[in-house]
Amino acid sequence: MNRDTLNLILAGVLILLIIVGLNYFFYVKKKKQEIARLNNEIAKLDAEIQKAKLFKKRYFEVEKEIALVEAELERLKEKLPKKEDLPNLIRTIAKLAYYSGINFLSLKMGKEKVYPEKNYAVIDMNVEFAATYGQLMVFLHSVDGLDRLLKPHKLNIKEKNVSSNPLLSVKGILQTYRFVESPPSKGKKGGRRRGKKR
Amino acid sequence: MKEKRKLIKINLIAREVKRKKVPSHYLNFLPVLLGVVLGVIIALGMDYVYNSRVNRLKREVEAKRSELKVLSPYVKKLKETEAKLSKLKKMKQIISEIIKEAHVPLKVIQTVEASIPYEVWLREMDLSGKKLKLKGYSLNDEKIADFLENLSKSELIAKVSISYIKKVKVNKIPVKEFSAEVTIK
Repeated sequence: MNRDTLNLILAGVLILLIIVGLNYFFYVKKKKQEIARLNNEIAKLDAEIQKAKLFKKRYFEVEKEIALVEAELERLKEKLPKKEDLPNLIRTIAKLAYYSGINFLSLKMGKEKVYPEKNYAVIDMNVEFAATYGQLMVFLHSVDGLDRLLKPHKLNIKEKNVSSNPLLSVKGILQTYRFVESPPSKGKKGGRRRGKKR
Repeated sequence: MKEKRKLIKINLIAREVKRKKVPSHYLNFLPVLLGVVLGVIIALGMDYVYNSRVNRLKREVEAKRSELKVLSPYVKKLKETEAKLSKLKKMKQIISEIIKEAHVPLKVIQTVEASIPYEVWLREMDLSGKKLKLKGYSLNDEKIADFLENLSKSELIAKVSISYIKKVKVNKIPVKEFSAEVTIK
């Protein structure tokens, strides 16, 4: 191999390297940068997908929990009816009093107080009656076992006479509750704009 | 007429056929040409590899974006459902509390009844919210103390305090009148 041939081979190798080098600098390098950017984007998207998957999982868990709480609430709401239905309540109390052997001296219905943020309304009933201790306990037991919630809020029990089975004078407030749906939250949409009257 | 004849000369002496020689300067540039061709092939190969890699990644990004698009509404949905759940839980807690409290007066009266020792009797009981005022009689101080001690042992009762104990006569019988205040848990 003479020197000229060697030079030509070297020139060939040099040209090859130049072509490959130029290709690297003007094409492959950019592609490599793009690959790095895409890999970064994929990593970010993966993280976001993982997060979103957790949200999805939690969403279904919360949905299940809501179903459970709603079922339990429905059960509890039996004690707090939606309707006021006072005539029926008075009838029930009168029946309980009759079976307990007590006579109401007075029964005054108060005004309903509504607490929408707490989802209930309460009605006070001022009661006054005379009963023996045994009769009172039967009455209170019956009130306690009612389907509709009737809570002795205040009770003043006084002995009327001194005896082995004294008659008691009972004054108190019985409270009954009603379930109230919370008012719809005020959103931006749907509200009527207040404008100046023309 | 004389016939005109053509004479063909035939050389019968063997002669060497001379081959055409490729000019030597073409062969001289073969390594350079090879370098160019190889360089182009390698460059194209690299381009192909990197291009296909970029395309594959682009497809992957698109797929992940569309997956995220499907999942992203759950973020908003979760916020809404969590708000609903907390509202329902609050509602449930309030109602449970009311129901639980409704049973307290009867339990308190039963506790008082169970705590009264023999020789103590009550004259008045005033229950209002978490406060219970008791007035009664006893034949001696010790029984009053027993009564209050029994009361304070109950899980329902937070605090028992005595307001006064004084001597009085009931139906001409000397007894001790007492008044106590009970705080319910």
